[in-house]
Amino acid sequence: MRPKAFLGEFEHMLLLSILQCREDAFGPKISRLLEERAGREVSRGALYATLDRLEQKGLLEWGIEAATSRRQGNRQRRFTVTPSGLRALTLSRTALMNLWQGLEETLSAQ
Amino acid sequence: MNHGPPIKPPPAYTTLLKWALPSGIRRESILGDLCEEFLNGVETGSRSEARRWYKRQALRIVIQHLFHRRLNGWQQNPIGRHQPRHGPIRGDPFLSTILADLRFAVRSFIRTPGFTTVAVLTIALGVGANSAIFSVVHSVLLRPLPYAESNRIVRPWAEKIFSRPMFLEFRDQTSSFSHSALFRGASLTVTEGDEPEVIGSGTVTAEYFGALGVSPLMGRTFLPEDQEPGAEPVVLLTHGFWKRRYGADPEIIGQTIGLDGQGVRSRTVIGVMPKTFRQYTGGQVWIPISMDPDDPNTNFLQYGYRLIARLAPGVTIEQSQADMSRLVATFPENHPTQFRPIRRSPIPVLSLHQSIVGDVKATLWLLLGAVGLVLLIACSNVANLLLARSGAREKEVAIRLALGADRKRVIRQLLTESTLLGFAGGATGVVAAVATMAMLVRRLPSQVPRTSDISIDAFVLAFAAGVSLLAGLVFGLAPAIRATRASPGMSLTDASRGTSFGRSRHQLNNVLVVAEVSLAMVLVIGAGLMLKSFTQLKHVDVGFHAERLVSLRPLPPRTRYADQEQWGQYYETVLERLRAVPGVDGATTANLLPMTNNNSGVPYLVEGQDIPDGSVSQVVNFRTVTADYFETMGIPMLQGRSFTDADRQDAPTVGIANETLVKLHWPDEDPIGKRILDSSGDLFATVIGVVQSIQQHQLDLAPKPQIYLPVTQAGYRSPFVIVNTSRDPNAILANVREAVRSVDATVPIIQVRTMNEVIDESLGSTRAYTSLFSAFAVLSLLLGAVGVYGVLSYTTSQRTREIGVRIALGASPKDVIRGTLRKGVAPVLTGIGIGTAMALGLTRLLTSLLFEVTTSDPIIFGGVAIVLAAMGFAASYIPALRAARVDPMVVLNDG
Repeated sequence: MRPKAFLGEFEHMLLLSILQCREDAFGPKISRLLEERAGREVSRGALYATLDRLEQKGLLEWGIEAATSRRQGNRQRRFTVTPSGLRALTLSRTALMNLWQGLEETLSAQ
Repeated sequence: MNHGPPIKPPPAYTTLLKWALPSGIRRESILGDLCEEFLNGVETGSRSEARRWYKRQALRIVIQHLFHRRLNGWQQNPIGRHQPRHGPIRGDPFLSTILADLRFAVRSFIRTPGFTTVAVLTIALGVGANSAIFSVVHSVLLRPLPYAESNRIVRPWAEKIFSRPMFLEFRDQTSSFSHSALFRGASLTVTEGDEPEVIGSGTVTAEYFGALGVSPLMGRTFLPEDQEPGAEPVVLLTHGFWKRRYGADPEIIGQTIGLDGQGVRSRTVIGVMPKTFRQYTGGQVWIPISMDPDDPNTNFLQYGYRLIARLAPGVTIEQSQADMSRLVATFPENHPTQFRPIRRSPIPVLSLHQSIVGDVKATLWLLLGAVGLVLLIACSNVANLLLARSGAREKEVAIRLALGADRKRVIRQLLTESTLLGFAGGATGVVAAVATMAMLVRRLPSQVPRTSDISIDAFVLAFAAGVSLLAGLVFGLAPAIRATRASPGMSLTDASRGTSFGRSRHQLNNVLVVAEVSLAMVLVIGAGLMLKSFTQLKHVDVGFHAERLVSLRPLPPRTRYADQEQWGQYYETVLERLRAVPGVDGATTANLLPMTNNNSGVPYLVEGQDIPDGSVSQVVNFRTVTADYFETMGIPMLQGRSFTDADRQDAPTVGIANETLVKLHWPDEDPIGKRILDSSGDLFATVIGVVQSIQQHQLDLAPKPQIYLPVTQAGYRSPFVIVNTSRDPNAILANVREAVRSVDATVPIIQVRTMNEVIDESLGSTRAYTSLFSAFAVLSLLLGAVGVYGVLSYTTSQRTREIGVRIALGASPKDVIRGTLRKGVAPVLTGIGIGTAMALGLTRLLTSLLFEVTTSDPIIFGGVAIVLAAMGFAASYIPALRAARVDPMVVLNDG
C-alpha cells in the first residue's frame, strides 16, 4: 500500500474555508471567503473540480437545500467536512508544523 | 430598486454550461451559484464587469470538465490525482482514440511533406476564398444594421424622391410610422484654418436620428425648432470629424464653426454622434433641413429628398404599405396638375436593410456560389490526392484489416486524417483571407454598401471551420471507404503484384476529374461571358470625344460669391484663362458631368400633349451649360442653333433637346419652336436646337430624355469646368488646375480628372465583378489542370509494368503515348460535355450582369471548351511522354 498522501494546497485551503463558513458552506460563500483570505481570484472550474475530487476521496459531503430567488430556481449544495476530512486536515497540519519547526529565524531574516 | 427587466447572466454561456455539464444536482447547484455570484457582482460593481466574470468562469468550468476530467479519467478512477501518470490513458475511450488517431495522422503527414503541402494549400485556396467572400456576404447581407430594432426601420416608397410638402402630407396623414424624416447629401466648405476644405454632409429633418434609434455621444440631436425659419444655424458632428478637425475637444458644444453652404456661413455645434454610429447619408456632419413654408423652393414637386421612417409599435410592413397606398392615391386629387391617377398598388415599403443591399444581393450570392464551386474543385483535387495516397497505403490498411482491425475503426482513422487535413488547410486559408481582406474590400464594386462593416468575425470563423470540416469529410469519405472495401487477401496479392490493378479506383479518379472539369467549365464560361460583356461595354460610343477632355470643379464660397453675377464673372474669367493655356482648344462649364451617377431632373409637360397614361409624372434631365458646350464636348448638333449671347435673362427661355426627347414627343414633327412647360403649366423652355444623345450615367443604359439650358438664363449651379485639348489630357491636368487657381487661390478645387478616368470609374462595378469571376475561373483552371495531371501521372506510374510488357511485346512509343493521352483526355472531354450542359442552365443567373451578350454565347462556349481540352491535353502529355520512355528491361527485372 502506498502511504496516504497529504492534501494539496488548494484542497487544504478549500476544506478550511468550508469549516470557516460553518453552517453557511454554500458555493458562493466558500468562494468569497477563499478569495478574501487567499487574496486572489479562484477559478470556478478548479473550485468545482476540486470539490468533486474531495467528495470522491470521502473528505467532504453535501446535502441539498432549496433554491433562493437569486438562483433562477436552481437548488444548492451545502458542503460539510467529513470526519476523515478533519483527519486529513490534522495530518497535513501536523506535517506542515513539523516542517516549519526551527525555521522562524530564517524567515524573519527575510 | 431597479424595476426594469430582471438582470440575467449572459444566456449563451448559461446554455454552454448546460450543454457541457451532465444534468443533475451538481449542474443545478453550479448554475445557481454562478447566477448568485453574478448578481452579487452586478450589485457591488459594474454590470459589464460581472458579465465578463461570468463568461470567464463559465468557460473555465466547461474547459475543466471537457478536457481535464475526461482525459484524467475521473469517472473511472475516483482516486483522481493518484492515478499513475504513465501508461495507457484510462479516460474516455472515444476521446483518447481520437487523440491517438490525431497523433498518428500528424506523424504520417510529416512523413509525406510534399503531399501534405499540396493538399493543405489546395484546401487553403478553397476555404480562404470562401471565407473571404462569405465574410462580405455575412457583413453586407446577413448581419443586421447596427441600429436598435433595425428591422423596424423602413424606406417608404424607396424609389421615389420626395419634396418637403409631400413629406409633410406624408407625416401628418399616415399613422404607421412612429418617426419619419427626410434626408439628402450636400457639400459644405469648412472656412476655418489655412486651406478651405470641402466636406460632405447629411441634411436631415429632426426625427432622422429618432428613426434610426441613436442618441448623441454628447450634446443633442436636432429639434423641430432647428428647422424653423430664422432659427440659429446648427450642426451635428460625426465622431471622426470631431476628432480629426477639433482633436476631440470636449468643450466643442456651443462653439460656432465656419461652415459655408446651404445659405449660411457659420453654424453652432450642438452635438457629436458616437463613434459606432454608421450613417448611410455619407458625410462628416449633419445639418437640419429648413422647413420654411415661404421658401420658394418648397414646391410640391421640388424633389430631392429621400424618406426614412420607423414603423410604429405593432404595425407590420404590409399594414404600412396599405397606409402609404391610401395616401399616395390622394395625391392626384389634391395636386391635379402634377399627378396622374396612380395605378400602382400597393406602394412598396422596404426595410432599410433591403433598400441598402437590394441591388447587390443577387450578385453577392452569385459570387459566393462561384467561389463555392472553386471549393468543390479543390475538394475533388484533394480527394484525388488522397486516393492516390490510399493506393500507396493499401497494404498497410489490408494488413490492419487482416490482423482483425474493425473496418469502422479504420475508416474513422482515415477520416480523422482527412479532417485534420481539412482543418490545417482551413486555418491556413483563414489566415490568408485575413491577410488579403483589406485588398478584397478595396476591389469590391463601389455599389456594394456597408464595406466599412466587413470583417472576419466569430461567425465567419465558424463558417470557415464548418466548411473545413465538411470538406475534410467530403474528400475523405470516398477514399476511406474505397481503401477498406477490398478483402484483405485480394488487396495484398493485387497490390504486391503491381500490374494494371484497382480498376474501380481508377474509375473513381476519373469521376473526380470529370467533376473538376465540368465545374471549372461552368466558372470559366461565366467569367468568359463577363469578360466579353465588359469588352462590349468598353466599346460603347459615349457620344462625345472623351479622350480629349479634362474636367475639374471649383467651389467658390458663398462668403465672397453671393449671387449669379459674381459667379458669372468668376467662371467667365476661369474660362478665359483656360483658353489661354497652351494646348487647350476649348473650355466650357456644365452643372453635371456625363458618366457620373449625379443627375438633375425636373417634372415637365409638353404643350399640347398629355402625360403618358400610367405614369405619376414625367421627368426630363436637364443640364445647364455655357454656349460652346457642344463644340467643346464634341457633341454633334443635328438641327437648329446653339445658344448665343442673345439668350439673356430677359429673353424667352430656350433649351436644346437631345434626340431621345425629340423622338419621344415629336417623332414626325419639326421640334424647333416646340414649347416645354413646367409642372404648373408655365413656359420652361422653347426648343431651339437638337443634339445627338450622349451616354449619361452608365454605358449599359440607354440615353434618357434630356434638355440643355443656357447658364445665361438658368444660372450657374456650382458647375464643373470642362477643357478640350489636342494634347495628352493627363499631361495638361496640372496646367489646367493652375490656371483655375490663378483666378482665386482661395477657391477649393476638387475632382480634377480626365474624362477617360470618369468613364473608367463608371465601369468600376462591372470591372470588379468581372475580375473577381475571372480570378475564380483562373483558380479553377489551375486546380483542374493539377487534378488531371495528378491523376494521370499516378495511374501511369501504377501501369509502368503493364506498359513495359507492351513495349517488350512490340508497342511503339507512339502507341504508348496515344494510349496514355486517350486515358487522360477522355474524362476531360466528358467533363466538358457535362460542364457545357450545366453552364447552359447556370449562366442564366448572370443575365443581369451582362451587356449585349447572350448567356449561351456560342463563341465563349466553344472557346472555353477548346481551352479546357487543351489544358487536359497538356496535363496528360507529360505523363504520356514518361510512359513512352519506360525501359521494359528495368521494369520487368524489378521485383
